[in-house]
Amino acid sequence: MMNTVEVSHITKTFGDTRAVDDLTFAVERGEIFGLLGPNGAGKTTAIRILLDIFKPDGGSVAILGGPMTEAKKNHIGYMPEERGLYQDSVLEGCLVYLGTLKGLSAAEARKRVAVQLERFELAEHKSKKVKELSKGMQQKAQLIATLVHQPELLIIDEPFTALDPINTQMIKDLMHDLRRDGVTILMSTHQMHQVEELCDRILLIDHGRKLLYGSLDDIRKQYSGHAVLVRPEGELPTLEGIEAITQVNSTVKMSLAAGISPQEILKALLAKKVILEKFEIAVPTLDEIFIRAVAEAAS
Amino acid sequence: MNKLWHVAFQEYKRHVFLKRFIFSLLSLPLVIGMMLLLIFVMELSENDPRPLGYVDHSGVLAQAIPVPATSRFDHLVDLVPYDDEAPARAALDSGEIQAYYLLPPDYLETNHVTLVYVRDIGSNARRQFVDFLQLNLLAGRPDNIVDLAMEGPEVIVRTPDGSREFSRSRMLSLLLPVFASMALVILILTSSGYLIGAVAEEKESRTMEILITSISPNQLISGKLLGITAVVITQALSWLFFGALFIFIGGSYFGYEWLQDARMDFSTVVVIIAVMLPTYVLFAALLTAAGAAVSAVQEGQQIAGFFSMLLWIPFMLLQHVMESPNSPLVVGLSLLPVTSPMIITMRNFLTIVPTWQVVTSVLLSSVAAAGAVWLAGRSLRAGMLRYGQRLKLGELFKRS
Repeated sequence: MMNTVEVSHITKTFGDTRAVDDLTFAVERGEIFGLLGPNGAGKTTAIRILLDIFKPDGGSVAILGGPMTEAKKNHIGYMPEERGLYQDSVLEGCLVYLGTLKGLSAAEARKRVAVQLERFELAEHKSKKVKELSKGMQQKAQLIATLVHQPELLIIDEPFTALDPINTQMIKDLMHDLRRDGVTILMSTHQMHQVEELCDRILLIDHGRKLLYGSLDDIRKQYSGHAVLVRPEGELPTLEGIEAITQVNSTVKMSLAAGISPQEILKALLAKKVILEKFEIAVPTLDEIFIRAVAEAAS
Repeated sequence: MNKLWHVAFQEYKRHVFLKRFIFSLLSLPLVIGMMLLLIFVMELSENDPRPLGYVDHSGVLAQAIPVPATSRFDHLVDLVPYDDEAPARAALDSGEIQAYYLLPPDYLETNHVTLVYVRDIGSNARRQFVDFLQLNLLAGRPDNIVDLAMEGPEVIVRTPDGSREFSRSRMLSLLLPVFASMALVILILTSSGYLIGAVAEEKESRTMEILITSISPNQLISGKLLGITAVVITQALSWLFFGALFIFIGGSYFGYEWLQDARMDFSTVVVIIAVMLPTYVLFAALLTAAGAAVSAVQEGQQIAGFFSMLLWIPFMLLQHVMESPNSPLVVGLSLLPVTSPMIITMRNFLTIVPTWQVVTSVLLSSVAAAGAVWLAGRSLRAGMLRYGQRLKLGELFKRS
């Protein structure tokens, strides 16, 4: 199946700063793809190159099957990190205008905006000026502007910035719904717990370079240490093949010696009649992977 | 509908439905209305409605023919004949009449008339009595002779090849192109604020990134230019309408001769539009480019000030243009895109502008306008995501 986005060896330099350095990745159709990295890693520049806002110094981008064209812009929804709507415009008029710039007729845009305003509970505010709306309402309005033309590809830069828990949940639900409807989503963020919850695959970059790329499960496995997490009822007996034991809250992390598998440890614990409340292979969080990957790259 | 038209329509709505625009639209007719009112009030204050007496010992006014009113604002006064000076003097002293004229028996030989008044008479009464006397002196002559004598000669000055002519009654017609060039300058100056701020709102409200992923920079800038041009045309048409109304009311109702018979040749209209349109687009695009490149609207206004100085160059050289309308400097300025419309319309008033100069000027202006639109697109592309940071000139020509 053809990928929705294919990026091949793109580079971009601003003055003396190389913002993107030989970056290659693909976003598969219908997935939620996370573009991760610390602040200033080059995420936004990479997105702007994808969207043809910036021309790359080298490399190529194929989006929806080829280079960016004016017609393809109608199939892409983009919510930039710098959110913005016409503050002095009436909400409905502003959204209809932005809809027409995505190829909708004025009548169609008006119809779809009306539906979305109902969906996001903004219908009663449609005649207000944008600047009269609360931040949360403006965020919802921004989403309507991004989705009104029913894009095939949705690119959201830092979707959860400055959002309260209710709006964060709303965006997460929306992303799940969109994925179910077959929309490809590329989100850029540095909030790892959101990525763990939403993304199928990720690309971690730093200083414009690729650090990690692939499915979340594969990356976790790649970074999982040779350890198990155990919460026993009572005292933990001494076992062969354990190199170190660390207490993590109510759980004990047991680092295994080379050649010892988690299954052998489980078998040994059960043989000693230890009652286990929890036994799992220790997998690092994305936060831990992120920090380790960035630190390794720096060293 | 093409996205460009959506942008143009949005830009048009954004400016036209503002109170500020309505005020600017009505400012010109208000000024004209005030001027008309002022003229009317001044005329009224100069007029004295009281009758004017006359004592005719020459017999010229024995069977007096009254002066017909030519317009409802002529303010004709009653002319009262007296057999002798004594009753006329008594009427003047009692304030019944504002003054009286005395025609002596030898008036036809001497052409001497005496006006007796306490306070100087109104201009309407003076004009009326001269017309009255002239009309009665011509009594018995054929009507066409009377009309010719009353109106005076119409001297037409014509160029040797007959292509241009000048006469008192066509004065306004000849001046109209000059007014049109001044109107262009005023329109560019008034629209410069819109143009400088054309993309400022998008930059300030951070909608630029959304727009640029929906429409190409060139389409966006062209749409905005189109919308603002439509705003300017709306303003120009409304001014034209009020100007025509002023000419019509002044000529037909107030009877001002210089406002009557005002017309422009079709070829003159074509020349004006042909030289002015590309120049407007050139300025509009340059101002938009400046607006997209600078970090603050205020900074852009300084650049607009520089451009407006260029517009005033022809007016600063007015004396030279009038003295030597075909000098190499003036011909050069006729071809230069920035100054050509003003210089060509001025020269059109004074001399015959060769067709090749008009055509060359239009071509050069059109090429410059196209280049300026391209530059505006570049400026937008390079400067669209620069918030609070000015664009350097060299960056306009770099790959973004």
